[in-house]
Amino acid sequence: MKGLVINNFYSMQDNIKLSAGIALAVVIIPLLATDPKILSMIIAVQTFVFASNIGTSLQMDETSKWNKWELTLPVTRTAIINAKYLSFILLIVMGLASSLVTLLLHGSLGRLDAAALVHGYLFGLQLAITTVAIVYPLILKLGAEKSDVLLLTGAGLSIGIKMAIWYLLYLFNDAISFNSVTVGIVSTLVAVLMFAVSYGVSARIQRNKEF
Amino acid sequence: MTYSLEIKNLTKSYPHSGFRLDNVSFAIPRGTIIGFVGENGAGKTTTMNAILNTVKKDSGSVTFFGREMKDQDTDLREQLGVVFDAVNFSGVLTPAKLSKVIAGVYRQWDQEIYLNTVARFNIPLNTKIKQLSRGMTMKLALAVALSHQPKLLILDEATAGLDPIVRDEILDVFLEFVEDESRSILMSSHITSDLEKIADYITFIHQGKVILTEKKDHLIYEYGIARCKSEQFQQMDPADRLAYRRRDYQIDVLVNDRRAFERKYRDVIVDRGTIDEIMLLLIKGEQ
Repeated sequence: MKGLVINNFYSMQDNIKLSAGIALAVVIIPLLATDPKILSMIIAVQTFVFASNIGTSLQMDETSKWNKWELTLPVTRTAIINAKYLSFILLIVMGLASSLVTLLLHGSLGRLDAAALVHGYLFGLQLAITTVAIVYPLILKLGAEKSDVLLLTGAGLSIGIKMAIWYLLYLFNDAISFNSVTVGIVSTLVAVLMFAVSYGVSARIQRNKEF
Repeated sequence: MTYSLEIKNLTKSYPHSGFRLDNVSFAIPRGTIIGFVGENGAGKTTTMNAILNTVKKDSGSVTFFGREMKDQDTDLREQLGVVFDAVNFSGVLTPAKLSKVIAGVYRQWDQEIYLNTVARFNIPLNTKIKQLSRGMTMKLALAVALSHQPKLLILDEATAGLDPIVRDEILDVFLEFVEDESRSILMSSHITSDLEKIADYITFIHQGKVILTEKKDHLIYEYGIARCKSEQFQQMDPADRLAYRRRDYQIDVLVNDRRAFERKYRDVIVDRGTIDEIMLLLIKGEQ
């Protein structure tokens, strides 16, 4: 499986470099703004930006027909899906790691807002995990040529899911706001659950897929 | 005789297509090269795909070294080297990076064999695959397929689109591969001259059915093509011919024992046929 994960990252290396550039470039934006929401948004963007490369590796797999050839390797179909989901987790971890630069810079300047940070991380994680969870099984089923549209749809749906969660919580507590920590935590937990379900669905699709 | 691969009554159909693999059966004895030939759409790639489980067969059995290969049988796939007709690696990889990927998959990966093969083929190690020529990329695919020391190579149109010099280089590698008589090759190709050079057996497939499997030397030295006039053809016993094809001034008749036929029909000229000619008669001829 190690080789499959390495292959995923080699396939995405140019886009990962671009994502790292974006993640570092946006670090300075909160310095120019006074609203802590901006810091929140930047943390969320940094957490999400690496995971948005999910389509690149899949497009390369499909273009080169690697996804057919890898079935002839001494790995199971489940191991192929395991490698993909491990790669997605590593992408999200890379996003989190890149946000540490923002944390260090703003911390050294004494401009850290704890609430904004928590909101940023929860929103970024929810966005990244839900998008991956929605998009990957769809790409596997429908083909990687639609990956850009699916990525946008997935990101849109993940925001929609967060709004739906906020609305449901609001029915029980009308003091709760969209940006509250409770909405963030519940949305992130739902995202993790969706990720687990997505893994199961993808493994099932892969087991029955013909190439 | 022990077999590296045995295929028995393999069938596969697709829901929205009239095409069907129809009880395909053939086997690869250890230490031999089998050429798998047929026209476009005959079912070569579908057979390869069904053998390798990239598509699910409807029925029949495929056994590698006496065992049916399931998804979890990774130890069996450790014994296979596969090259399809396209380069199946990401274009942004270099041959050096590719070896790190593949080394992380095969337990038996031998980096020294890989580096020697890459050097033998003059493949630059640090050039991106997308910048390599088709010949280079196919040679790279072959280097990958050989470097975990497989017992069976499965090659689907692996020499298609390559110039004669590169093909010759690759064919030499195939011959070296089977020198150790425990190794075998299944090779589908349109280029029958390649198979004439290296194959021990030829299997012909047409419209999803295997129509003949025969030793190559038998096809070339025992089979023959009788060039008959119309009246000679009329007098011929139908049991003596495998297939025939009407030409402008003669009828070509495929026979499976050239010498016996010549003895029986002394006034008919019988030539040796090439694999191409035999395939044309089998596929386009009447019976």
